[in-house]
Amino acid sequence: MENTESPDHILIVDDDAEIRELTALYLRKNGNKVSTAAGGKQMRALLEGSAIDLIVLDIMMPGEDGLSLCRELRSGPHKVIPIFFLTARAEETDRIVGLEMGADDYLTKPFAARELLARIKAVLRRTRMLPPKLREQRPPAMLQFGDWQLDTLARHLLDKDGVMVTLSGAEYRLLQVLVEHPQRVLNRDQLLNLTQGRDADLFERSIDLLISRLRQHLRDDAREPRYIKTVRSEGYVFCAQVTAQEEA
Amino acid sequence: MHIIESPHWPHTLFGRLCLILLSALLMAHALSFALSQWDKIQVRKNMMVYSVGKDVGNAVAFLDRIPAEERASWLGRFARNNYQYVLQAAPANAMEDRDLEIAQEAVQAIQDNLEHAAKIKTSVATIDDKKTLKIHLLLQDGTPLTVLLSATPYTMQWSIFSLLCIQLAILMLAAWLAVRTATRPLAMLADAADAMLKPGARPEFPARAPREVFRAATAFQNMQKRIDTYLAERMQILASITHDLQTPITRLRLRTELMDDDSQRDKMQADLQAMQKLVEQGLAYAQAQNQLQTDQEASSKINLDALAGSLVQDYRDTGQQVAIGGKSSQTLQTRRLALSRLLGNLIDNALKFGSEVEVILASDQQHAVITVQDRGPGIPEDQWEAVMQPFVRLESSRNRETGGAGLGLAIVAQLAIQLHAEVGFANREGGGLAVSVSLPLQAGVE
Repeated sequence: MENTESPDHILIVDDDAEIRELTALYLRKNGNKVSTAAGGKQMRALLEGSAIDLIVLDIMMPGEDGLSLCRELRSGPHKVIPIFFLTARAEETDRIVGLEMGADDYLTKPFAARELLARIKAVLRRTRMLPPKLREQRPPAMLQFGDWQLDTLARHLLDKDGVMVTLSGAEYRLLQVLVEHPQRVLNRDQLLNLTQGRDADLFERSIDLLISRLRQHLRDDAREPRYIKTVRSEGYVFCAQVTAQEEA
Repeated sequence: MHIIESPHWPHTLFGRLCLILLSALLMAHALSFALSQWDKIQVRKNMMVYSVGKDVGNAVAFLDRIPAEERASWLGRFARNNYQYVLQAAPANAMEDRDLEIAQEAVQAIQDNLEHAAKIKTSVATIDDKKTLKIHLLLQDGTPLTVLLSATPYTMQWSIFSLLCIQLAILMLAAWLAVRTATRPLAMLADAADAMLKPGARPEFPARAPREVFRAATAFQNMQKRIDTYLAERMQILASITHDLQTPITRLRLRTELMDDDSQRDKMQADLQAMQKLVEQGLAYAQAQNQLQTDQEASSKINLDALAGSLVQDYRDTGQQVAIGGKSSQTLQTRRLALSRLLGNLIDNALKFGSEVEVILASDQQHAVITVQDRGPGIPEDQWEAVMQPFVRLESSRNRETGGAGLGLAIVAQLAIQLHAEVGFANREGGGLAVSVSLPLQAGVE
């Protein structure tokens, strides 16, 4: 793991003791510092006492559920801490609600601890790459560039007529990374790191493949790019102006 | 009853009742009309015979009393519009008996009114195109007298005929109305029952229905509500069982990842994966069913080629072999999640039971068609309907490797209803199954 100097401190909030402890055990085994909380009260106490890097939050909890805790966190002094949702419902609407509340990523129960670990790392890398000032702001729901709009909640592209262009998971993650870092050259390693998600195991070459697929979707020409420019022997840069939009 | 088996016997209750009622009414009416007409003709005839008898009697009595040379000048005055008098002798063919009923009766009537007994003969002639009965007799002094009686044929008056037509029209209209009143509520009930076949549909009965039908309809509606409740309960049970299973599966899943024995761990994880798949399917089915009844996903404009492409790409990114071909070049107003899940289920099935899975896009004037095809065992044609039912699995797939809950295609069927899509099966030449999903381009999903 790259952050060996100081282990990430992860707080797990789940009402099910077994799941809480088992997840904690796995994350600890993989070099993280882990605290656990059974609900909102314990969570608040732990947040006061220590510096937490990321919170894993179960949505379905008796009493205060994950969504309301998330809302509270996002409006309080701890709004910088990335939040990772665990949801029992696979419904996409739940995911969108969670992301709307300001969660950074989510996993559906039952999940593989290995995947949770990979995704937690990805979220941490992504937030750490952002300048501290930007970290405090939630990424806007709608990002606009050229003729396109990227819906970061529902995770799809909209063309100028409002027609939805669905992207595959990997395509979306790559585009999101590019759009969130406009005018910045990102090399293949960085792109791999930032886009690594549930399907992991992408190779450097597959980044090139993904880029060409994205160009096809965006109707971009590699020789005269409007959006994604190739920087020889370095990587790629998103060259269009990106503006945030409040409402779709 | 052999009438009922006849090919001309109407197939609808409406037609049958109309036929019975109308024919009976028409026959009865025609009979009574004929009877009244016959009666009228009789009365008329009797009247005529009676007045002819009286008139001729009077005329003969008068002629007897005036001098013979003055008789000819008086004859014109006795004439009536259907008979007149001439001083003529009987022709040779005149007879005393006639088998003409009217002749007999007329002769009888005249004889009854004569003061003297006279032999009366009759003959028939045609004068001015009219059939005329000639009645020959002798006055008291022996002068021959002939009464020319022309029968005015009975003609039905137009007013009577049009009255009859109006009566018949009223009868027919009334019969039609009555039959319609009786049969329409039945049709309403049938329509409502049909509409109920669509899950989630709640047909309402028109409030104008007659009371009996209203009662039947209310009973029917109550039954419908009960069925809805049972369905919802069933789905609730399925949903809560599968939902509650998620926690223990999650725990087990986490435990396996802390295990040291690699081979055991992989096997347990595979089993858990299978369990999870069942749970997901159960939940998805309960949800799809629930969504039909309640709120549904909002629809949006969707680039169909991109949707299918991204779906296939996601499969490829996880290392599964799915090819894509063709182009629909269509933008659809539809529910993205429902469509994605529908196609996902079809692709999952194709991967599970076959190989060389291919998604093919096409479109015509009215439809965009997405076909998911594979090279595998296919599905026998007589099973096509059965496999769309929940918890139905083909005999060939009832083993643990490929089993599943038998919900995949049932979910597809549910989602197809939501999307107004048609799902069709075909077995491919050379083996394999092709499932086509046909989405209407116009009148998209709200």
